Amino acid sequence: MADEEHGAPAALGEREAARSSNGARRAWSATRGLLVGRPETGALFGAAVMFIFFALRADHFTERSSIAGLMSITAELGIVSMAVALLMIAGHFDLSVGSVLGFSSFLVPFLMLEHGFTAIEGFVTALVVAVAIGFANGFIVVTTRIPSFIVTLGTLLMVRGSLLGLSGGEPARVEQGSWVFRVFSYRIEQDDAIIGGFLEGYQVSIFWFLGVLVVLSIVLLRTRFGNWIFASGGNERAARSMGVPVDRVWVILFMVTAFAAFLTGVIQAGRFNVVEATRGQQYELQAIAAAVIGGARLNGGYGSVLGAALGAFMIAMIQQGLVLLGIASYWLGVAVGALIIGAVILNQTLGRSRPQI
Amino acid sequence: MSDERDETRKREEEASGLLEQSLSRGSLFRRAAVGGAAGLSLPALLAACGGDDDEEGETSAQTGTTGGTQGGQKLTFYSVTHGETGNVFWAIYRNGIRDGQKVYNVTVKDLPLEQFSVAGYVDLLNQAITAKPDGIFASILDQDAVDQPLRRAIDQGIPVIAVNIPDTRPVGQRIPYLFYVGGDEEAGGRLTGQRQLKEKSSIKHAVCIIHEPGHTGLEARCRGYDAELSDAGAKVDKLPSSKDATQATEQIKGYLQKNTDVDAIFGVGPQPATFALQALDELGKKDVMVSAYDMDPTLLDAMDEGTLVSTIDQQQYLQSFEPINWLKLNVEHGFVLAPGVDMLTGPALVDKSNVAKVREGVEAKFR
Repeated sequence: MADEEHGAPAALGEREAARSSNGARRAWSATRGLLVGRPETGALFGAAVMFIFFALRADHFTERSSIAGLMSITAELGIVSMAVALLMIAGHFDLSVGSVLGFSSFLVPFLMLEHGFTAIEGFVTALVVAVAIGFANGFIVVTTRIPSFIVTLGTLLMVRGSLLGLSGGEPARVEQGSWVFRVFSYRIEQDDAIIGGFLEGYQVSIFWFLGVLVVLSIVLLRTRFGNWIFASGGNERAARSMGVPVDRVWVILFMVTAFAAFLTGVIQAGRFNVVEATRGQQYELQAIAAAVIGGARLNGGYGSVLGAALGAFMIAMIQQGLVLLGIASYWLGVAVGALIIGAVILNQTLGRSRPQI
Repeated sequence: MSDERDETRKREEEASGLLEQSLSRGSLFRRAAVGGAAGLSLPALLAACGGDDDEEGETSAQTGTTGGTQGGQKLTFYSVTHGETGNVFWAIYRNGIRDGQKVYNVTVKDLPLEQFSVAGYVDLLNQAITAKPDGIFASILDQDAVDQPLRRAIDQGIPVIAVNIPDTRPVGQRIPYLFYVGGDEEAGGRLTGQRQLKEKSSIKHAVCIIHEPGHTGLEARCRGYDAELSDAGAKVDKLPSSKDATQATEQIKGYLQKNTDVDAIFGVGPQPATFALQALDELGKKDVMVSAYDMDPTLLDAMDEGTLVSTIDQQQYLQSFEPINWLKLNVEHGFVLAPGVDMLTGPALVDKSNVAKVREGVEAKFR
């Protein structure tokens, strides 16, 4: 699509501009300038096309409750995917997020019921444990130089093993009495102040999602740390020679992915009254899929927070859309798989016309 | 002091559990040999009850004299399964081994497969056979792979009982083990359907939710349920769901919004059933029956609250306890079942009529 930028469509753009007012011309070229060469462009178009398709073809897809459901999947998967995308831009993988998600989700009720922790103590402990796992991932990667794929595969197994060991495989039951649970997980009612009217039926996880989206986008695009992220993943040696603290960037980002997994974990702990020992299994693959659909490159240096969020949104749409179309989700893998490959092809095509820095 | 009390309480729990198992044993047999089995289980029952006020050593001795051992030496059996440690289901199975050893005064060596691998499993079997035990009970993890080693064991005169997973080939072709002790997944699905029809004879539209699509055992549960309800004139869908809690719940909600006439749900495990209950709760729907499969304290709570109609117990405690009993009977007296007769430990239906009793079993780790 962006290849056309240099060819015929430019002429078309001018003809069109000649016909219309100056204002419209400026708006058009500004829009085009915004879209072309950005990692999330493909995902944005993909998501729009997919949404329109399901809206037209799948009954109930655009109903409030259906959109609310779509957003609760997007919020949880999106939070993890955005963090994973940042790490991928910096050149690393985190396969342990699913296990950390499950462990955080389990730890809160486990500590409360088995060890007499208050809810707030349970949440804080789970947070500390999760971030410590993230730190360990990062620390091992930067000190041993073992590929993060291997290191986090190891922690995936170790954390899941600890969860199975502590729980004996038994689900932990959650007593959601405390307000702390509602901070992470609450279904908005119609008579709630201010937001109740137009967000009834939505989960509050949507606000956490939006918060993470805004914060991580600003960090990536508007701060020096964001530049370091791109530099660390793009060309590590060059980045080091320019004085970028590459190791510190990596360790921090591993802690961010672990924090995101914690956040989704406690959101789930608040909504469901049991945490089974398999919670979060294979979440890491969905998160990487969302990041890739959103334009992140496997070898680093390129990607987008918004793109990963859109990737998660697309995966959620496929899940919901297939159910509403009445297609057995045995076919889900086919759709998501095709989406991943299609997205990478599209992103490569778009990437080729990206101005070289 | 407290240790003694604990011990006594544990004994009482064991005894009540055993009593319960023994009483329901009549329903375990698919075909013949029903009366015989019920009779033969009496010594076990008596031994367990006797243990109530005796010291541990005496219990064993007592049972020993009931059965008698060969040459005064304890018999040694091997349990070879794919049941990894740390799994709730298999923890109950191991409790059956623990109690079976005591009650029948034998030694049982437990060889679980920790990392799923067919080759690794065959190695474990060979290890057990090399030890020349008095008997082996093993899951038929892969009937082609275990065929050769198990036939070799049987040729060497080691009696073999299949547990948990049978050799599905017809008798004559299948590995000539004594018999199979385990569940029947498809029958469990059928039983669930029957139970729901008892609750509401005119089910219009039912759905089977499967959280691990392609899992042979889970698909069989769906198949049985589908067959039972289709026969009764209901439309039956299958909804394969995500393993993730949120995603599965939203998929179920989406499905229920599209199919507003659904009046019965079968979750093929504790998870999909729990997610279905969550989805119904969030949608504010109350007129939909939900049934589950397998045991989980949450499910029993839901049954007490009246939101869950039924669940199915495989009674896996018996899948180790019974082979120990029967291997001993076979070695010492040559007892067998009629050819082709298997011992089905499940499905056993759990609903509001027996939930209180079952809960005791769950808390005492018998179920």
